[in-house]
Amino acid sequence: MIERLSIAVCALGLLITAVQPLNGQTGARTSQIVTFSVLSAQRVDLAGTVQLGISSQRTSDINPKVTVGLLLPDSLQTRIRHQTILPAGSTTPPPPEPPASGQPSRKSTVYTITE
Amino acid sequence: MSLIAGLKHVLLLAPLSMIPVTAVAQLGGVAAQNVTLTVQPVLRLQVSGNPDPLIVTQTVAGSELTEVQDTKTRYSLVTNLDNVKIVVSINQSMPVGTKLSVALGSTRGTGRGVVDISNATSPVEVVSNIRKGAEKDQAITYTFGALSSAGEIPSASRVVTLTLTN
Repeated sequence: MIERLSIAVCALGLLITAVQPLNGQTGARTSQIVTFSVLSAQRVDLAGTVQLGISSQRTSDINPKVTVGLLLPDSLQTRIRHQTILPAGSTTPPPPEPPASGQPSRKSTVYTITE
Repeated sequence: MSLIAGLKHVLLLAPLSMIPVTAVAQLGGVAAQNVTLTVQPVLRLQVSGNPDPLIVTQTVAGSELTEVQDTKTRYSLVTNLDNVKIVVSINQSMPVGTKLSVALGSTRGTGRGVVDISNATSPVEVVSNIRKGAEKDQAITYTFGALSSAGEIPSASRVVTLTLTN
């Protein structure tokens, strides 16, 4: 009987020892699972305006051409929007917007100003 | 038997019934017990669940680092100790080009603000000097940032372990 009681006491002691670290020096632990991902996203914002002016009285300067170039990284497929205000008397309308995708990496737009 | 006769019997028997009790009381019966009281250190910490997935979907042109936040989860604690702290670790470092930060609110301790745990495979302190008492539903804010150089990262996860310790 005493032996059984000793075994029971020892077992209880081991149980207390096993549980105690949760409230003892090692502290209380809990965990969270943080899930993350980065989706493919490419974006270019261009801001600002380019002002071009041609002033000439010579007839040889009729039909001058101004080329506006935009260099972009080869990896980008971008959409470029044009907003062009032509001066009064200009006859060349702004060029149409390029397609939304599949553009070559080097963009250029030619504006022709005529008298 | 009349009521008066019955009452007489009761009165005669009553002293007899008191004899054993009186005898015991005269002999004395004192028992003592030792009551041992112990209050173990109490440190309990609980979180409300897992944060929502942190997904970088929209890069900001001109900015190298794009960040998203989650403030959905909360933590509660109770302790009967002074000067305890909360430390945080993750099971594996974050991918190159990404950053995971955490900030814990606290009313009984001193929060360390936004703490970068991207490489915290060893615990780092996020709240210190917590006084004994309880805190309930304190804010947990996770911030996930990705550099453009990180590229595309399919869904991944890390186990963040929060430990309340002295």
